[in-house]
Amino acid sequence: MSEILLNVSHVSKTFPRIGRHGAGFAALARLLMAKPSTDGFHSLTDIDFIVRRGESFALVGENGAGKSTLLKIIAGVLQPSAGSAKRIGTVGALLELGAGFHPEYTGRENLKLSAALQGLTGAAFAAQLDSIIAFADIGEHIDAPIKTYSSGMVVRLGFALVTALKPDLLITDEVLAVGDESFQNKCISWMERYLADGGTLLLVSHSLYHVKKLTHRAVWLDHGAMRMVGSSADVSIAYQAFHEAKRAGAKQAALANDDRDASTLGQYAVTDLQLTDITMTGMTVRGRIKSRDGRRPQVALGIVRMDGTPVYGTTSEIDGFALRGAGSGAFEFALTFTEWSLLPAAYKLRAHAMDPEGMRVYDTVERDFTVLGDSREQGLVRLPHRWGA
Amino acid sequence: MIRNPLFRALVEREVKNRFLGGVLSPIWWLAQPLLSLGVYALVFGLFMRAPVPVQYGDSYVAFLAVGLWPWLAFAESVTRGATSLIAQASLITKTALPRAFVPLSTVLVTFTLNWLALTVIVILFALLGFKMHLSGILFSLPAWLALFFAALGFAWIVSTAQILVRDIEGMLGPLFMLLSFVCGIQYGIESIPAAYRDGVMANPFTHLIARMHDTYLSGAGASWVDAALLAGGAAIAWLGYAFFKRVAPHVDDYL
Repeated sequence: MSEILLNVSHVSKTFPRIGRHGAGFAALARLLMAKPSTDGFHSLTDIDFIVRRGESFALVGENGAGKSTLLKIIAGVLQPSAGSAKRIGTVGALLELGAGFHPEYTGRENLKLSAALQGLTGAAFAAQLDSIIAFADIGEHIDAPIKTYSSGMVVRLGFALVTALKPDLLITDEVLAVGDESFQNKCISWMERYLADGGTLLLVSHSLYHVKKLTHRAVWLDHGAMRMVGSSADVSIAYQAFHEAKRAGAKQAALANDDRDASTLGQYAVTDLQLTDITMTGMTVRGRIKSRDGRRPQVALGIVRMDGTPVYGTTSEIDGFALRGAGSGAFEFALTFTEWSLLPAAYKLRAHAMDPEGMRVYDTVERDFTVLGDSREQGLVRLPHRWGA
Repeated sequence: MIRNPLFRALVEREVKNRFLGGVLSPIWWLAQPLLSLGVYALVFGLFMRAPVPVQYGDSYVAFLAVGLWPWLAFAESVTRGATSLIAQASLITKTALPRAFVPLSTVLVTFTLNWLALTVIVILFALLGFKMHLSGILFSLPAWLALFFAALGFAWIVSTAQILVRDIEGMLGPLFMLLSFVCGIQYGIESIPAAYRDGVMANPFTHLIARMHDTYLSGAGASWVDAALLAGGAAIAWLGYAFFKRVAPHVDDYL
């Protein structure tokens, strides 16, 4: 096991409720007595994880989940209400690009204080200054006040400074979401080099692609609590599934309507559905359909992503398969997927009970399943392919 | 701490802040106290004919200048200090800047500029033939240092308290105006009715301003009073720092 760079131990943070004009003498007295705030907004609850050297870490979560607050605590900017965040080694924090830049000063002057804040001073700073300015690539603007900069230029300058620091642990908050395409690429290639040289990254990003590409492990924060911690691939899949399910909320409601129709008609209904032997290459679906009039129904099976995007569907009618009668109007089926090419992600299997003619859907039942794996390929399925020159 | 590069960068920025922007900024550090000096000289010297204590010579302007500049340094430091953390909110809530540096740099720069201004004035007055002792530049230093410590302690307190109780800065103006009238800056202690004189003498600032007068105007050397003043100043600075250390780590919640 490599050396621990960061130990976040049972960190909680509660923000006091305050009015518009400060908090008054009561709050001041409470701070002086060193009494913890009793009520307020619980931004973080019992966050606990460690980051080891070379094992880059990601924080994912929705807006307001507490990611930025946690990063501030880790960077030593904010004090936790309980618990502790211990840092070992040098830490570079890039909480907000351009944080601490003063609009009246030139880029060069701002770099000096910002560099000093990150521990880069004196001769070491002077030696790095040219390469910082070269990375920022903002030309003669470096000697103009920051207030004349475009937001992209501020971002360039902020990131350029970090490239000179090369800390043991680099803390970044959403820095990849800003700047134009070419600058983003420049940042990413710098980060990859930094990681290859043994650097460790603590990254907040909404881009699961970056999370999977740049980090090994991840924490999913949900309303200030740890919902999941594990490999970046696993956390990404779960987090993506959560979002796709959320986006599919509207479609779910529509499906619920279909279900209600089915219950009023009640002609054909899915009464049992089970997924077994789920692997990276396939699975088996078993189910049972109740037929009220005793006629042999058809079944349609479909695989969709969590947001409802269809991946594949077929029916017993298309394939010419007859469901096996199991007595008293029940019919059973089993379907095995062999050698599928689904990319690692969370999916839903939908089973639809259909009339014997295969014309009309009477009932729909869903089951979630996850295809595991750590592929960074994009899309739904892996298409067979071959590289050549 | 003076060698801390981060602190030096902060002080550098504080100095530049004073001289950026306005047309008069480059001379403001001298012009502003000179204007105050002019106002007081007009009101107390010319209209009200405030007498200069006999041991301090006969120039009212020289008497006023020597007491006023240290006082302005103190009052301005604490007032600027009160808003220093709020003014740097973006810096302290987004970077791991040692927060005590912020009021410290404000006080240090304010004192340095005011001390420089008075030193220039003292030399100028001496050259013009006023009764002014250049040795005072050296022997007033302990009193200046004591005043600096006191200002720092108060600045540490009000800078954090201001964030939680935003009325503090507004109260400082009238408070300092009152204090300035009861420590012998505009007129000698002798002008205050005997009934109130004990109260005025209980004010440590009275003794501090008297040391300024003694060293610059009467050519007094070192005194035991300096030690007492320094001890008092250091105690205020220590108290202020203790206050700051308790409150400052938690002010983000209120900024």
